[in-house]
Amino acid sequence: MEEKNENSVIQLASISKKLSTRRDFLKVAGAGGAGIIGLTLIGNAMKTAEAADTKRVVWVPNPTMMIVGDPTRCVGCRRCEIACTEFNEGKTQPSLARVKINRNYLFGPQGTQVGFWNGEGIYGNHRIVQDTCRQCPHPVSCMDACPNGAIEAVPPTNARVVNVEKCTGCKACQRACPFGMTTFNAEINKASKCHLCNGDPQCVKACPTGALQYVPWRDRTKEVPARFIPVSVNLPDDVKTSCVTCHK
Amino acid sequence: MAGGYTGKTLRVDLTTGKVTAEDTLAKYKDFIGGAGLGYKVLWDEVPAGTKAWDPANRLILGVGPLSGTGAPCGGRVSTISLSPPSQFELPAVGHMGGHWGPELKFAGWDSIIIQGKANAPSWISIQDDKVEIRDAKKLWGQGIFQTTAAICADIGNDCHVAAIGQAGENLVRNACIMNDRSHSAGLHGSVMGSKNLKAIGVKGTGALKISMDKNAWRDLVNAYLPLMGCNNQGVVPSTPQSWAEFYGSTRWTAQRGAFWGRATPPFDVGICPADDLNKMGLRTHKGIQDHGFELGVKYTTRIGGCFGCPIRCHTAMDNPNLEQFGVSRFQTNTCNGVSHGPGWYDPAPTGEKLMLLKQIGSALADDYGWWSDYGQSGRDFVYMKKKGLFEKYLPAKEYAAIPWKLWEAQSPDFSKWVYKAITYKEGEFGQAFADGPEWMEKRYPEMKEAHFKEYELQSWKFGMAKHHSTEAGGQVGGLLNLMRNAHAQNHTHSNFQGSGLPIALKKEIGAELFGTPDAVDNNNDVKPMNAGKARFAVLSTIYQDLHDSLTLCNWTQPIWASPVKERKYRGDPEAEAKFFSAVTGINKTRGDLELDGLRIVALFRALTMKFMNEADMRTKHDIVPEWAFTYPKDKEPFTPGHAKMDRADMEKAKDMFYEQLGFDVKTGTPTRAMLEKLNMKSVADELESKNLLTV
Repeated sequence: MEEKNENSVIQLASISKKLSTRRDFLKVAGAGGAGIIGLTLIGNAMKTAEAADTKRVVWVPNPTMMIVGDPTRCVGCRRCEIACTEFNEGKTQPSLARVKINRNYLFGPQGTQVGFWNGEGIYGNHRIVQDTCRQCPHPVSCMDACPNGAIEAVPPTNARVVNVEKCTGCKACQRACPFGMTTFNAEINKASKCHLCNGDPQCVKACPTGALQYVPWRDRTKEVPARFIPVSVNLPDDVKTSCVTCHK
Repeated sequence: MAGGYTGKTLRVDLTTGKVTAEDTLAKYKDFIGGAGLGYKVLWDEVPAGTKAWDPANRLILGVGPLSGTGAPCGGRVSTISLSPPSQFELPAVGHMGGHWGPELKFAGWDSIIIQGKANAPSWISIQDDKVEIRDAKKLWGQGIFQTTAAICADIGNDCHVAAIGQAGENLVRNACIMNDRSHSAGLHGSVMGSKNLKAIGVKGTGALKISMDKNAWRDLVNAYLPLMGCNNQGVVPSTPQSWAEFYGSTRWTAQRGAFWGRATPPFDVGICPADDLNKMGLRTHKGIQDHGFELGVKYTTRIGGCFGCPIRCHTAMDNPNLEQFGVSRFQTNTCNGVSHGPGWYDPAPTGEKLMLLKQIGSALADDYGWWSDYGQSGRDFVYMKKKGLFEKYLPAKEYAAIPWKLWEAQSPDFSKWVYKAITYKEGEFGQAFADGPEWMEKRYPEMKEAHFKEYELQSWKFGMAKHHSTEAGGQVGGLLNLMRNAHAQNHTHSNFQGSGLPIALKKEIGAELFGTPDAVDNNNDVKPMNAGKARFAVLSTIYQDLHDSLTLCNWTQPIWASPVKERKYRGDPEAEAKFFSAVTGINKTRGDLELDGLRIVALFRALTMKFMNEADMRTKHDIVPEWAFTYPKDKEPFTPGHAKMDRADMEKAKDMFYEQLGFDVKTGTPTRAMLEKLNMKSVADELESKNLLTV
C-alpha cells in the first residue's frame, strides 16, 4: 500500500486533482477492492483506516459547469421542463423535470402568502424565476443525506448524479436539498436530479429566449434563497465517520 | 396504449355528485379529442331544445392527445357547450391557452365532461386521480384573480385554475372562463355559473407517454422548430434586416432598440434571425403590436403565453398609473384582450390614454371574467350612442345617471363604471350589454339592421363579430365565417395571407397547397372566385377544428410557409400528421387527419342543424352581411384597395365551398353518403328522423 507521510496541502491538492473518480481515489489510497478507505495522508490516521469499512468518500470535486437562469428573460413556456423529461425519459412529466418553472410561475417563489399583487409570477410583477440545481460544492446535501451513497459526482462535468442502481427510493435526498431540486421518478421508484445531460443540457438548448445558460461553475449556494430549511437530517453513519478524517 | 392520450375522460355530475371515468379512445377515437370529443358528447347526450343554462346541458373542457406534450404548440383547451351569447343558444366552441389544459393531462385526464347543477356554489378539485366537488361558498362573489389565489393556497401554488368571475355567476351571456391570469375562453362562463360551478383547480404529477423513440422525437421536434415564424406565423421580419431576404407587415417586430423597457434590468431583444432558435421567443415584441413602438417599448416587462409554445404573444406590462384606479400596476393580455378597453369611446382615444384604457379594460374584464365578443360590445355601444338609441330605449332616469361626462373625458373611471354595470346587470343598459351583441338584435331592431348593413359594426351575422373575414383573402375569409356559431376566430387563412412573403411566392406555395396560384389574392385585392379558393377555404375550415381537437394553436399552425430560404420558404403541411403519429403511435397521414377534421366539421354542422332545427343552412344560417357587398360605397368589386364582394360571385363561392366539403350545395348540409363515408351513419339517421337531412 502506498503511503504518503507528508501532511502537505500541496500534495493533498495534487492528489485530489487526480481523483476525479472514486475509482481513481481508491487506487491511490490502496483500496483492496472491498471497503471504503478515508482520505488519510497522515501516518496516525492510518490506524483509523482499519475501521474504515464504515467510511464513505464524501468529498467530491467541484463541478466544472452549471445551468443558471435569468428571470428577466424567462417567458414561462416551460419547454425546458418538457425537454428535460422528453429527451431523457421519453415522456412529458413536469413533476419529474429537473429544472423547475411551474412552481414559481403563478405567484413567484414565495407563493400566495405574500398577497398576489405584491409578489412575483404572472399574478404579480411578471417575473418568472427559474429554479436550477446549484450542483453544490462539498458538502453536498443530497449526496450526504443518501444512506446508500447513490448520488455521485460524474465526470466530465462532476454533476451530482443519482446512480439508479444504488438508489432505493427512500427520498432522504428530497428532504435534504435546501433548494427543493431533487425530484422523484415514481414509475421506477428512484430519485432523480439534474445531471446536466452529461454535458449537453437539453433545457438550455430548448429555451427560446436564452434565459437558461450553461456556464462555468461557481458556488452560488449562498446567494440564492433556499426554498425551505431542510429537516434535520441524520447523516448516515458511513458519512459521519468520514467527516472527522479531514475536519478535526 | 396510445401515447399522448391518458386514456381516461372525467365526467362530473354536479346534480348527483357522481364522479366517473370513461375510456377516451373507446368512445371518442374518431373525433380525436378537444373540440371533436366535445361535439360528440353534445350530439350523443344533449337533446334538441335544451337551453344553455339547463342542467342537462353539458360543458366539456377538452384537450387532445398532443396537449401537454412538447409538440408545439399544445397548450390550448377547447370549451364546448351550448352557447349563451348565441341568439339561438347554438352549440359552439370557445378556447383558452395558458397551462390549464396540459395540467389536466398531467393529472391523468384527456378531457372533463360536466353536467347537471350543484345545489350550492361549488368548485372541482382535481389532484391526479383524486377528484372532489368542493364547497365554493367563500369563493363565490370573488373575482377570478382572488379565486385562483385562494384555490392555489388550498391545493398548491403549482396548480392551475379555470375559473369564472362575477360575470359568470350573474349569468352574463358573454362571461368567459379564464386560467393563468390572461387566457380567456369566450362563450361559456355563464354555463359554469348556471351549474353553480365557480372553478376547476387541477394539479397533475403524472406523465404523458411519447410513443416515438426519445432521440427520434427530439430530432422531429428540432426539425420542426426552425420552420416556425413569429406570432401568427409571419415568416419575415417587420423591418429590413441583414439576415432576411424579405421584410413585411408581420409581428416579427424584434429589432435593435426593441426593449422590454420595464424588465429589470431593461432588455433589448435586438435582432432575432430565423436560424437562432434561442431567440425565437423574442421575435414577437407583442407590446409593439398592441401599443405601438414607443409605448410598447416603454411599458413592456416581457412577453408570455401558453404552455409549450416557443413563440410568445401575451404582452406583460407595468404601468404605475393603473394603481390609482384600484387595479394592479401589472397587467397582461394580448390583441383584443386589451383593445376592447378603448372600444367604448368615440372618437378613438390616442397616445398614452389609449394604452391606459386598454390596460384597465383588461384588468377589469379579466377579473370579472367578461369577454367583449371580439370588441363587438364596444362597437355596439358607440353606434347606439351616436344614433341616440340610449335616449330612446333607456328609462330617462337611468340615462341621466350614466356618467356621460366621464365618457366624454375618456376617463378610466367610465371604464370601471361600464364593466361593472355589465357584470352586475345594472339597469336596462347593464342587462342589454350583459346579454351581448347577438341578443341585442332581439332587443333593439335598429341593432339587428345595423349589424347587417353597417360596415363600421364589423359584425358578420346574427350579431357576432367578424374575425377574420373578407379583408383576409376575399371570398376565403368570408366563407370561413359562415359555418360558425360564434365569431370565427380562424387564423389559418389569415396567417398564410399575412405571412409577409411577396405575393408571387405566396401564389407559388398556394398553387402547391390549393391547386392553383389563383387561390391566393393579395389582401384587399380580390379576384373572382375559383376552385383553388374553395380548397383554401375548405382546408382552413378543417384545420381550425382539427387544431382545436388535437389541440394545437391555430395562431402558429399550420406551417404552410416558413422563414427558411433554403426551403424556398415552404413550411411542412405534414407536420400535424407527423406529430400525431409520433406521439400516439397511431400512424396517420396528412390525408387521414384531414378526413378526421372533416368528420369533426360535419358533426359540428349536424349539431347546428339539430339545435336550430333547420335543414336549409345555406340561406338561414350561412348569412353574408349586406355591408360585404356595399362597402366601400364608391368602389366596384374586383378592383384593388378594398374587399367589397359581388353577390353572384359569393353565391358561386358558397356553391364551390359546399361542393368541396362534400355537402349538398342547395342547403349547405352534409349528405347521407358523406356522413356514412365518415362513419357517422347514426348522425345521418338522426338528422333524417328530424326531417333535417336533404340528400
